[in-house]
Amino acid sequence: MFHILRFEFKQLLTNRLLWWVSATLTVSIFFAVYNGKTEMTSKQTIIKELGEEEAKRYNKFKLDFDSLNAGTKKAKLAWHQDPRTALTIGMFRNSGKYAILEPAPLSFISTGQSDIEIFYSKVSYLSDILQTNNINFENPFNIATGQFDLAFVLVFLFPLLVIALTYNILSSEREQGTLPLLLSQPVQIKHWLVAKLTFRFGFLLLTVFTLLLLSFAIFSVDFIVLGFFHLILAITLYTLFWFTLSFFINLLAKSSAVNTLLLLATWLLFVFIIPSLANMMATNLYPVPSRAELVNAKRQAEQETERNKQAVLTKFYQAHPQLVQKAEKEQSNEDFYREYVTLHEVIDEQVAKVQQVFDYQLEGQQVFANQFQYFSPAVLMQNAFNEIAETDSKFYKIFQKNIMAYQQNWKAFFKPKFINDEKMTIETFAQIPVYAPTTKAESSFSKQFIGLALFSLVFGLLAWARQTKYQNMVA
Amino acid sequence: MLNATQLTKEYGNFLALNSLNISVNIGDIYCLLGANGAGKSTTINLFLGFIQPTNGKVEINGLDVSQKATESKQYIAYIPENLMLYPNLTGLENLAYFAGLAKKRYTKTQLIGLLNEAGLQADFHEKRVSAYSKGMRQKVGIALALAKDAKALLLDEPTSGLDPQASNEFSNLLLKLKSKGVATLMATHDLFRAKQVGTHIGIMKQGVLVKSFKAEEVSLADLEKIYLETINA
Repeated sequence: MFHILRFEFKQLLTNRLLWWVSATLTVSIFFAVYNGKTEMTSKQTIIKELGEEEAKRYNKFKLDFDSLNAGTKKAKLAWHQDPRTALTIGMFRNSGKYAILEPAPLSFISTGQSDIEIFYSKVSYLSDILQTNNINFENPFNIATGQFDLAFVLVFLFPLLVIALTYNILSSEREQGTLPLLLSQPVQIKHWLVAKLTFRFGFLLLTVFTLLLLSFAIFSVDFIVLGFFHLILAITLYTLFWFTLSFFINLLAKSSAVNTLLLLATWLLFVFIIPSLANMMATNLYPVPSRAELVNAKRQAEQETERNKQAVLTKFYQAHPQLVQKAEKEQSNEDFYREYVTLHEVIDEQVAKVQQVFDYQLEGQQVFANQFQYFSPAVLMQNAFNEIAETDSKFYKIFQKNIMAYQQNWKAFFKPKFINDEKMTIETFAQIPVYAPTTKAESSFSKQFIGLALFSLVFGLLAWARQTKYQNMVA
Repeated sequence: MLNATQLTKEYGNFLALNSLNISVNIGDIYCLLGANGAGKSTTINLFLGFIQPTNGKVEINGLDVSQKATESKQYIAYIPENLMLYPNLTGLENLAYFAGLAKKRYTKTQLIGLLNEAGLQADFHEKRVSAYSKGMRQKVGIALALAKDAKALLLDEPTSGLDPQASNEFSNLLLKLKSKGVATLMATHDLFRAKQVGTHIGIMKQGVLVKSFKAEEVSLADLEKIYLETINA
């Protein structure tokens, strides 16, 4: 075995294709890590700036609050800037605190859903936390073409390099005429082939891991995390699958051209056709209403509430007998916003119903697509990467739920103050809710790992069954 | 050393080899003559275990090739009509590689000695095989037989396409191996070389060994006459 590996190394060194493969891999990995790291750094910068901006804003509120209480404030503040008013701190333009989804240490390896989902939201009483806050929309061109991230390199490009290094491992022996001499030696062809494939497998993995470590070191990535171990495992299993597939196809005893065609067709099937098919079926089985429909529903709810305004308000004042409904001209600012909040609550209830249908269909698509992942190792690998990077849609869904829960806390805190026209005090100022995620999504990639291992096992077994006939077929 | 007993090979309805009985002993060079399709290469391929017999048995050094295919190969060396080696490796590296597959380890000096013994010019030892002529590659094949310490040599038209000098050198190498006790089974069209190096000659026709005799029993002219009469009969 060692003898074969030694000569395999010698032969590989003289193989120009290997140098091209290595160069392509090096450039791709370095560029992908650089690209991902830049994106991650830009998010971290935004998060830092948000924190600073929020601290600055609330510090100013606090300073104004203290100086107003002490009577040392010289400049007069407009009523909507007065921090003693709960509306200023809880609802107006300058109010609100940020809910932030910090990127995972290895988030740069896969863009996942991060280019279309929000990673922060300014939560206040009336902020539209899930839609209009998304001020950091990705360039649509990038969304259409996909990001050049590590997942793209390793899920899409890497199999092509495996194919380039393995497609003719046996057929070339036949085509260059060395097979008869090889078969006349006291070595079993399966052992010889396994040794050669093992060497190339080890060589490619070693190259990838070295390149990853180098690029992580150069671009200052903190990779001493459990995720890195999972990343290594995912790459190993995915590479193993492509090698077992190549092992099987080599044993079909076809020409190098046929092997290339078969391997590329399989690559196309797993990388493009099955994911597209899954996407198409999911969209057809679980059609999601368009965003425009959602916006329309919201407008309709607003109009409907406006039409039923009096009925809603009557109900409200009946529930709060201590309050008296005033004519518009006689209303104070507090009276006006009390009614505004009440009406908005009804609109939110209506919109939530439409949003629920929207989310249900989206979830249906997601569940369907997740089941389809078991038909393609490429999808399994991409999902494993998204899990490691924590850019899978589930992380964003949970983040959105956490934001909504945070907004509910915010509302529960401020609503009694708005209704009863309570002023902010030193105590209540300190009690303003801060974002604390109630649930945290956990990465779970065991299904993907098992799926990838099963794919390798199936092709490994097919190859093993094939090799028993091989010795007789080659002459 | 090499034994075929009632060896038969059918491809569907086509009978490629019919009840062949042949025995090549230590120091023998058995030359199989016959027209194309007579069954010579089929016989060689059956000894190599490349194909399985329909009936009968092939033995190398007492080992049944059908059952002990891998083990039996440690006793043989094979030189096909056009011996191909890895073009991006040198002759020396090719020799080391194939000898290694046969679990024979040699130092570089020993390998050079083997290539010299096989008659390969020294200045080609460390040149890539892509620069070798057919004759040079055959010599690496002989060096491999020496490296494997092969007890039997299977040759499938080894001198076809060689110039007379290279062919003559090859014959001398076979005689050298013969003197070391190597049993050789050679399929060939070359009556002259068969007479020159062979100890036994067999003539095959349509899968049947129709004539078998000692080479010393006939002159070259007689051999040609017998051959033509046999295949035209």
